[in-house]
Amino acid sequence: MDEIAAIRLERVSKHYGTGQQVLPALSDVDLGVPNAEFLSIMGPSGCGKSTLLNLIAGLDTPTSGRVIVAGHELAHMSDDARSDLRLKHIGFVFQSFNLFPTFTVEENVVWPLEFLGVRWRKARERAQAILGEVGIDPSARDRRPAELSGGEQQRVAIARALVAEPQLLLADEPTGNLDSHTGQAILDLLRRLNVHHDLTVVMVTHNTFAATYGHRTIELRDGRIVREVRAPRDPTARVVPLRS
Amino acid sequence: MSAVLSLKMAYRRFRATLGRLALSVIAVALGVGLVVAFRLMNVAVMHAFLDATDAIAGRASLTVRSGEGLTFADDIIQTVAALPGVKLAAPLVRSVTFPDDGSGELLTIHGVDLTHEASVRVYHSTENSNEVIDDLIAFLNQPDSIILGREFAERRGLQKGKSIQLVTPTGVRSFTIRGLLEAQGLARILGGRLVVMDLYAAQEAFTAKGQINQIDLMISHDQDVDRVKKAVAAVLPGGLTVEEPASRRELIRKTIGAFQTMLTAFSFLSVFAGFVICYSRLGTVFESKAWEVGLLRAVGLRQGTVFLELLKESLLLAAAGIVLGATLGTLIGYYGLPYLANTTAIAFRLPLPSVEGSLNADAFLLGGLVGLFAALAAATIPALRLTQAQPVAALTMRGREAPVDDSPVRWGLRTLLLVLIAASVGLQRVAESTLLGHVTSGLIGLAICAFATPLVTYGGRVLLAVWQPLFGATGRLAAQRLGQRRRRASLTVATLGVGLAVVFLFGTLAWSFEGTLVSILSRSLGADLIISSAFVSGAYWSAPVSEHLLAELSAVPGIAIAAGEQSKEIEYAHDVIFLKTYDPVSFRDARVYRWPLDESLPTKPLELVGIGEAVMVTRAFSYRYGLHAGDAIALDSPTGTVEFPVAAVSGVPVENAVIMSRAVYSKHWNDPMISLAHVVLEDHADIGVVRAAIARQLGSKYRLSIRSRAELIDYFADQVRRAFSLSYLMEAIVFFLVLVGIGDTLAASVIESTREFGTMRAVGISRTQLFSLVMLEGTAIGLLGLFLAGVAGLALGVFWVDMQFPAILGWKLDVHLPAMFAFGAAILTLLLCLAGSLLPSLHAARLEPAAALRYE
Repeated sequence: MDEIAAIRLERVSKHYGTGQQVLPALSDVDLGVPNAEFLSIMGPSGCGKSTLLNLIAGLDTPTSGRVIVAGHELAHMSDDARSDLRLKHIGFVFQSFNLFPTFTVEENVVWPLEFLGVRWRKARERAQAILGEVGIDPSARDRRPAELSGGEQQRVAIARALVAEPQLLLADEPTGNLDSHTGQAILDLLRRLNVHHDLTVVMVTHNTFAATYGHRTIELRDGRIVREVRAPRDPTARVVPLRS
Repeated sequence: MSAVLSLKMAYRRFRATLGRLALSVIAVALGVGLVVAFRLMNVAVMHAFLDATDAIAGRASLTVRSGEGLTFADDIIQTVAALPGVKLAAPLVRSVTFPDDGSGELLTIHGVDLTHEASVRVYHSTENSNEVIDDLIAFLNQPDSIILGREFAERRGLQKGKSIQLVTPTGVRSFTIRGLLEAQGLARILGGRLVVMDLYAAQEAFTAKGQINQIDLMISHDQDVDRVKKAVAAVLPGGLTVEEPASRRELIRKTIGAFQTMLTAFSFLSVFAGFVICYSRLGTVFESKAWEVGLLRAVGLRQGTVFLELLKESLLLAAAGIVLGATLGTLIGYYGLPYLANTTAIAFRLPLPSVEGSLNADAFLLGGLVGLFAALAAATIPALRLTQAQPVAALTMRGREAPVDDSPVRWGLRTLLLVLIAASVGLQRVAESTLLGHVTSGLIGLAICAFATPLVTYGGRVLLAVWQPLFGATGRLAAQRLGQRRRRASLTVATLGVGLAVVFLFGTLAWSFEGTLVSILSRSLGADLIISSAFVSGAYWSAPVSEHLLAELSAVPGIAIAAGEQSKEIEYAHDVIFLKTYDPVSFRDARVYRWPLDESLPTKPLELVGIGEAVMVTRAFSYRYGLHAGDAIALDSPTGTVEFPVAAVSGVPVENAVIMSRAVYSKHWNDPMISLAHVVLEDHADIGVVRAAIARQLGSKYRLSIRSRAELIDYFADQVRRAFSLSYLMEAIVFFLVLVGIGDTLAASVIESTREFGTMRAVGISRTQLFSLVMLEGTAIGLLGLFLAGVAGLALGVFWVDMQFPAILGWKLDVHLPAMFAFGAAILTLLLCLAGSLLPSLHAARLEPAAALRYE
């Protein structure tokens, strides 16, 4: 179980462009994420946070170095194989939620299961269960995303990410479009999922408060890890904000 | 596997975008509808005409003929009847007539030997088949006796014993109805429009004494048909042929089939237009959902799976279009069937049968397949392009358009396309291949699509330079927005370009056809009046009139010359050509007819033709068969094969024709009729007075149409316009698609620009300015589409007139560009663009800035 969720990046670099127009997004990043860890990645805009997340998800390929997720070196995997890895083992949560605007809440959560071959009735049951777990009221299940608040939409997005029971959850600025109160609720949810489901969470944020939810925070600057901070490993610990 | 086959996801996505895909559904439906309609109608019409052919053939095993509408001497009957194996040789006179009530309803005349007819051609198959006529002796003794189809008689309130006025070549005559045919056999096929009369009475009224149209042969059961056929052929003079009825059936099938193929091609043109529209709309819709594709890939769907999901959406689109199209096609088929049957009968001078429609499964299957293919083919490239995009990049495309690929590779492909077009045009000039011409036309259509993007790019810059001074900042912004949404704009411009180019193509064809005809007639016709029967026996051909009319015309005061003209279709080199025959004076006196010659023998070619020692061929004939002045031509006639030297190649008339003296024609083809009489007035004669005199003295006897030269030219020009009337339907469809296409494009553009417009309003732009902005954007797309259509339409039109039409028909036409038509079409297009832009513009103007800024 520990091996499956582990992430290892070995001397990973990612450059964009060619010749004199080369733009380094990541440079020689070494990173290991053990199973069930909640890792926060911080840094200013353009430091390479999202690039790092995309590399872990297999959505992008490094210019050099190795990315190993769940024991698989992504560079050795075909595009289809990486897609399968994401579908079965990785959940992705986006800053802008990215829910299908014309699908209902339930439909937005169910559809990944259809592609995993889960029968419709069972898929609905699992969707309803996960929606309940993230705090979506049953009455909201037939609504469209536009009828929900930002916080509700992000909960639905988290439900979609978890419905296939992945071992790894990648969250790219999950509270970026939310007010502080709602954002905190989302962070609490992520922490709870990490604790109760042994879910490995890698969260990118530029918010210092959000970063404290992680067991460990790494800071990126200009594509390099410049700092690493470890929090006490108490699953139930809750960080009290400095300002209410 | 179940996910691969499941349509759930695709249905949800399709349901959400149904409004935006409505145009595509309609486009597919129109294409499918026309394919289904023409298939249903073609099958019904073909069956009806083949049944009519079979009914006319009756139980004959073999038929002796000399050609469509031609007659031969009946003295051959005895020779043929005496051959071993021939049980019965039944002569037939076949002609057409019209009731003298101005209805123009065409009746088929069958003059038969009533003592033998029942055994060959079943008109009346009940037990009392001999009692159709009460008294055969009385019937035969009265040359005005006829048997009429009961259906026709009942429609006119006619009964046995009543008389009916029929127009014959020798004038209006009264006939007495002495029998009625029940709706069986041939009478049923022709809807009762059948007149049966005694053979000799029919010869006297409609052909000439001793002349018949065909002999039907019954063979003894124990005889080999092929052997008898050879024996009959051996005794026939040159110009007569013996064939089995199946051959006739095959000829009808081939002749009508070619016409129906043209109609089917037209329906497939609609499918192609539907494909282009689908490609445009699906491309736009897919692009607007690029981020969704990114999401699907990010969540973990494979490229192939996402591609399939996009194709499934187009599958649902196809299904909707097919259902709608099948219904539409059935309705069009139902209401269009009588019209098509009538058009076919007129075009091929066949008796009009009763046509019954039926629902054929293969019509719907064909329509379904083409609809499916069009939608899936249209979706393939946009879907491939989207699924190959990087998921990360795609995810960032929400609310934005993917950048247009205008790389050197694309320009290389465009250049290659132009080179291919130039090469195929050059090859077409040499090869004169119809198929190559279609390929060239298809390449030009592709070029329209390929050059739409650069046109939007560079045309947008030109518009920017022009509109800024004209419309200020609003004009500048509108032109700039084109550049920001190049992909969507170029897809719509391409759609307009293809549709309108086809409109301009048909316009150029019609104008060139009409212009060429008018030009030729104006150059050739010399007579002051041209007289014909008031009735049309097929297409634009007047019913035949006896040549005695000429002598009667000559007796009218004020008339200097009355010259006859007769035209006939004959077989030549396994094809059908025209024999155009004129009285000798037509070749001597330019007041009757003028002959612009392309080439000729050095010694008085027209005189040689006039005295019957040579013939001329038309330019189209020379072009098609490679005959020139000085060559010889052999023609099969009912009296045998006749050979003539070719004295000249004439620029008139326009058809594939051999031109000869009517005296020669009449002698060899046994036809004393004329279709036109050219009348030259004496000097100082008043045309109005002479016209009135002709009408008074001869009009009621012959039922004549008396036209001046200008009126005849107008008449033929009108016939050309009627022939192209089918293009009006296509034009209406195109203009409808212009309206909906512009509206749909702008509606999508406005929705996606909601936040942008909110920003503009917040900055201070007024509602009126925003309204104008969107209207100008729609106008810009329309102008660019028109420009593209104009260039491509001109290229297509000139290509078709100069090369493809001659390859198909062998006719050389002059290029006449439809300037007024094009101008009118352009104005209409712009008006439709404005109309289509109206609702989206109003929507944009009504946006509330605060809500628009929050729009996601």
